[in-house]
Amino acid sequence: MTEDEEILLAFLEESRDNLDQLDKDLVALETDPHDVALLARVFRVVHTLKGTCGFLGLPTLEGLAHAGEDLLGALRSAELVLDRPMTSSLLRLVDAVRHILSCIAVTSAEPPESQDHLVAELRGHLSATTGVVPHSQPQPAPADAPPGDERVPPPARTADTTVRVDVAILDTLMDLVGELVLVGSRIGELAALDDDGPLAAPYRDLRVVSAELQDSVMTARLQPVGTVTGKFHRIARDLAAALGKHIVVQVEGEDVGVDKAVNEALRDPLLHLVRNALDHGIESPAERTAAGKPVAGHLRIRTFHEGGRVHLEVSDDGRGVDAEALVAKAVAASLLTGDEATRLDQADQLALMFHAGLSTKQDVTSTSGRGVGMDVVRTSLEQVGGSIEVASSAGRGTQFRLSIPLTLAIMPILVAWCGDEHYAIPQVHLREVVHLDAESLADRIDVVSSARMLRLRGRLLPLVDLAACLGDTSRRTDGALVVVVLDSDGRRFGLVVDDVGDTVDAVVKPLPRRLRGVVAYAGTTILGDGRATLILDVPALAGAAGIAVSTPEDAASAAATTTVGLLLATAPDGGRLAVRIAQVRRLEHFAHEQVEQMGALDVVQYAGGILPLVHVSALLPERRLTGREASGVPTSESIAAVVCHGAQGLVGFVVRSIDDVVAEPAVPRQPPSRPGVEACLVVDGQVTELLDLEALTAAAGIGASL
Amino acid sequence: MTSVVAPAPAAQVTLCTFVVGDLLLGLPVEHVVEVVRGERLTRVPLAPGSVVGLLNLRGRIVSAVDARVRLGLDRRDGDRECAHIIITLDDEQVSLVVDREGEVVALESATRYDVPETVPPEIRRLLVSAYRRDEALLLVLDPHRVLTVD
Repeated sequence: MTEDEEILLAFLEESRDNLDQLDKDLVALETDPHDVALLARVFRVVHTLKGTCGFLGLPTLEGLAHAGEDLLGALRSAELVLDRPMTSSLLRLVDAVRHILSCIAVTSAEPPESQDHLVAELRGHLSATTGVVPHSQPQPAPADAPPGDERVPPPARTADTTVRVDVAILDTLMDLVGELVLVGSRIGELAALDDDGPLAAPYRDLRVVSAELQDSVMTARLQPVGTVTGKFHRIARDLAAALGKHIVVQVEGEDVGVDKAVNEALRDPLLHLVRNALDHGIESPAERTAAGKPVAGHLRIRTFHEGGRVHLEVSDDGRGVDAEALVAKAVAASLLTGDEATRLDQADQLALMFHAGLSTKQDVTSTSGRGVGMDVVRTSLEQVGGSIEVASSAGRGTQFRLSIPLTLAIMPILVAWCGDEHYAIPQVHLREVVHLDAESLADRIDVVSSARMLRLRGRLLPLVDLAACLGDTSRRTDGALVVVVLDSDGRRFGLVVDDVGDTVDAVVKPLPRRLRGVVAYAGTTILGDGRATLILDVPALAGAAGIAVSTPEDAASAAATTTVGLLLATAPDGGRLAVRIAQVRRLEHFAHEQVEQMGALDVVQYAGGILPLVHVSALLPERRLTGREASGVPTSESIAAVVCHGAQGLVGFVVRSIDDVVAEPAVPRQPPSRPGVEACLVVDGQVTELLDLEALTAAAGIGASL
Repeated sequence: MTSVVAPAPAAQVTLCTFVVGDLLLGLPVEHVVEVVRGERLTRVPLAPGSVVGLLNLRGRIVSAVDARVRLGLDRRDGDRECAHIIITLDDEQVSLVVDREGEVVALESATRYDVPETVPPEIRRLLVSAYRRDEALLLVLDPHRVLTVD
């Protein structure tokens, strides 16, 4: 690299930082145009830029910087006072400089397009307000300023005490430190053989030093969250201007350190939240005045450390979220029944906004509000092990609370055994662990053809066998099982493993290239015993096992991708039926002898009460029999019943067989074919009738008396 | 084809040799980082057939490719003794699992042969050249081809 190239490269790097600072400073100046120190700092940056550009032979940049410097000079000498149009012009100057610099970084030359219009715009502020002929002579730099000039604050960042280091080097350091800890524990085993031996004291020291080293290396990987949150001064200002709203932005905790990868993962969710706050949250000036609020809305982004995680709060003092409207939309979109809706508390109501396809704003604006969004925010945060909560009070404002791990390099995991190998399950997906001994297995697990379901506190949980997923045949066969209940994008399932171990913090390493195509794994790690261990990709496992998982892409494509779990059954007449899993309590088989008559109803004694049976085929009229169906129903030894919880208590729906559990899009669907059917669906290429359980129950004459 | 062999004075190649089945094989030493033995492997279900597992090489996770599978021999029996030839390829370390490591040998380019026609095609496609070594034929592998995993 030639000396010139080195100077240019250093200039580009330095300018990038300076421009980010300029954005912030200009927005701050707009709020307080009389902050002399801040104005001097802005002036100095632009002045330096102009000087360097002249030196490097970059005429377009130099011309721009010169025009900006003239305007800032007039502001500094109090000939002018900074107003909104001037701030906008100066911010456009920053954008133009940024654009030109990025061109130079690629082509080593300024882009051909002219910046004359912007130069004229900047000079226009000078002539329009004062009539003064713009300065053609360069302003003196603050350093040359006569004694008595105001004190110039140092640039916000000091470059002297920092070095730029390639992240790959830091990653290697992390690996080596991790290995050092493992070697240390091997020495620890030797030291433990003889408590007073010569190894004991050095081992204690080694442990302390390597723990401190690990912390230091970890800290070195962190960058200030301000590289992301700091940008919102400018972004929020521009957005507010576009929306015709007044806004005061307050960003706190910009120096909180987070992992680079976490910072990147935060950018889009935060942008979304800030847009929402400005567009939907904060009212127009007229509305605010009418509500007796200050005209300028308040947006606050606060970052802090707590409990080993990074917390961010995005709060506004706007109109708040209309929880009732959210619930009404959810009911209209069949995400909830009216009955379920009444049981939600306020937190649950607000949490509906994270559901795919729900947005309270009716009209689509350029800023936000396309009916997708909050679900994408939630999903992308969950992908990095984060979570989001919302609190809101009508007329007073909304607050989003985000929590994310400090680093993605370390992840809490649960160790699980399957066959003779152990695997790591990211704890972010973990809900609970259920141990089942051989005796309780039959009692708690329903086998529905290929799908197994666990009865857990009155609900049916689909089970995924890890050994089957991995094609592993080395499973222990003593009958006992452990079900790890996992949550992936809001969908819950049980992963069947042989045993589980402890939860540990694991250093995450990428999958070797030759294994990237294998979907079951998200990465690798090294556990305390020094063995390489695979980290399971929970969403991929759920997907491979047929448990629908909505991806951000799906959610973005349409609300139609909301899926419902369906239990598929064959009707006594051979047709295919479906019942929503959410409505199913249990799957039962009754012997024919158990069936008794009570009035016109067939009933069985069940769970200490009386369970009325509904013969589905008898109640579904007008179905033409095909040859297959007309050939007669084989008489089975028992009656299969889907026990559902209805408005009148438990009801058993009699079917010929219970076949499968699938997840299907809630829409599209065909209108009902006949009474007693809620809708027709096509599942696996076969027409399937989704039963309207309420209508069937009523048609069977089952009343509240039961 | 001996005419195409460069007659440069210092025309030597240094090969790291190893044995797989009854084959004597070699790789240019510049690709080989080290040879390790007796490492515990973590099995990887669903992985391509030639990937026998993962090993922890001082904090680095390395995939182990079974040379037997790549050469069309029977898959390695888990308990059988083996050696890992650690190779750097495209900025990543990979282990080629072989039956037994051999010595590092320096050979005159003049003793280089083309791969004999008698070598079965499934092995031939992984080779770049061959050398006469005492009584045996030393087959030189192409590191990219032998570590390609389908």
